[in-house]
Amino acid sequence: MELNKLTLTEAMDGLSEYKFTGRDLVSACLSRIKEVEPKINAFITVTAEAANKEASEIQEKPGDIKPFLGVPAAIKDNFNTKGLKTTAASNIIRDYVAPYDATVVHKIKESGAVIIGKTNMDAFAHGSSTETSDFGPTKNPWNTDYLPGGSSGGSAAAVAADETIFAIGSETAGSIRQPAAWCGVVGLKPTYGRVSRYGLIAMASSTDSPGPITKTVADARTVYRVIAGFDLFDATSADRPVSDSGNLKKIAGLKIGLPKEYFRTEAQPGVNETVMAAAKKLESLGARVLEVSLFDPKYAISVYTILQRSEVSSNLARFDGIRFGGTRDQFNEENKRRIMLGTYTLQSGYYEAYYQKAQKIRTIIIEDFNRVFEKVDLLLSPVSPTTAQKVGASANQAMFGEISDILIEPSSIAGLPGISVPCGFVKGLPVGMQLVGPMWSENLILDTAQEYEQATEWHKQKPNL
Amino acid sequence: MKNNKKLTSEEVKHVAGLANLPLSEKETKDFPEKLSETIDYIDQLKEIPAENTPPTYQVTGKTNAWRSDKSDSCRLLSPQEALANAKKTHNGFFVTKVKWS
Repeated sequence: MELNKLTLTEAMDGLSEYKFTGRDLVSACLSRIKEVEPKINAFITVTAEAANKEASEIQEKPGDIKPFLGVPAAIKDNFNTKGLKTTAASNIIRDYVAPYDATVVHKIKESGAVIIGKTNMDAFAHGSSTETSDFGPTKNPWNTDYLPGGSSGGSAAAVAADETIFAIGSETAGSIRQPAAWCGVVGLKPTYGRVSRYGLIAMASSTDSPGPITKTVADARTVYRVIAGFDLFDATSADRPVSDSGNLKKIAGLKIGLPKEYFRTEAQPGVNETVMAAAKKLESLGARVLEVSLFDPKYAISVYTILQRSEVSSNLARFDGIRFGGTRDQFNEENKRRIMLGTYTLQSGYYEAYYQKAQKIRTIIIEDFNRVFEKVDLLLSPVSPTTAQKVGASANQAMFGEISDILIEPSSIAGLPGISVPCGFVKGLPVGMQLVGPMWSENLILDTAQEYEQATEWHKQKPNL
Repeated sequence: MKNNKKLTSEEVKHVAGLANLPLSEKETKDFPEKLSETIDYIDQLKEIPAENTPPTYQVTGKTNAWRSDKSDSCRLLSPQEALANAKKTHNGFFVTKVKWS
């Protein structure tokens, strides 16, 4: 048995039945990392020694509730992780050692998981390819000539290549769902405010949402339940209970909307068709699938671009080289472009035309979703109009990420939860379908995705590395 | 709808100054065009009337978030930890550049 290939659920079951130990799991993942990292480059830091030591010292104490005790986990490198380098894949904090744990990391550690490394990403999460990393691009495990997507490309590739049992990513608009889709794994972007942002190196504070990247929907639910909840350290985190059965519903009778504007004519041939086949599958499981109309997502790109660049320019102002990190010339070109654009849109005299106008259109987008959720329970669409793109595709395309995330940005701007689930392949590369629901509808999304997953075999396919 | 006005290099230098961002020679040369491309794109928003729509700055509807005046000591940084990543410190303080006004 190759233990690194286990899902989180299988790993937890095997551990509780004493079939293997945490040490075995950690060592299996570390050997896999050693084997495939030269091809994939999913990790910036691998904590082999510390992870082995921690795993060998695991002792179960009666009364301890540590659901992930001994389970290897990989964390995106924009989460502060005490005593470990936390680089956000940027040269400016290449040597920064975090003095504290992000709340998500704190919760993962408290649950007993063993952190085996920090994963690659677009520098400061500014991208959708993992190509703008100052530590070199990550490659897609399904075909190493292709990109993994991003910004959580390292986390998604590490899960797809079985280098870890599960991973943590973060999404501002697509950074969990799009790499999950391109790498053929599951990615859950929770409702904004559902998971604490404390200790996550900020990109756009009004949409940043940490979430799990996993091998199955059941695993995503398990990790989500550990990391979700109110946090005293994040004033925007939601003060409402994380329920097990908030909106438990079976697919039978569920109304699923297909937004016609999201099946774009310029999509890569095969992608829309693959997602339509998934819609048929959901229909055969008892769902009512109907076409709906939403605000043209092309406007969401503009809204997102303004909000993201503006918030980036403000959030990255703190990188002054005084308390930590190097000097501002060490930002890479993509970072600089975003800071510049954001500074431009926030200038006095431009603020109303750009930042404020974008916030007004955000209201229109939210009202549009509210209107459609009166008719349907969930929305189904492709995650991205294409499968993974070739290495080098993002260079010199100022709007590369925005275009590949066009189908995700509206829901991110509105703060809605969504999931990417594998639903087929086009020319050997995975396609992800996306289910989006109203605020706080994670349970409904997970239940529906899980029923779909159990009725299909896509998630069982593995890349040939 | 295209923004016919291209960003000039003077404007780029001005914005770089506001952002406290040193640009390389290449960036100074490339940015007017690259930024103009993005500005062209976001100018699409002008097509949508929204004068009477209120802005949404925060999606969860939370307004003021207060917390009790308590701290969790296990998650506080010691002065040594807080200073650990600074390039220059002096007597337990961060060292900054001098600003004469």
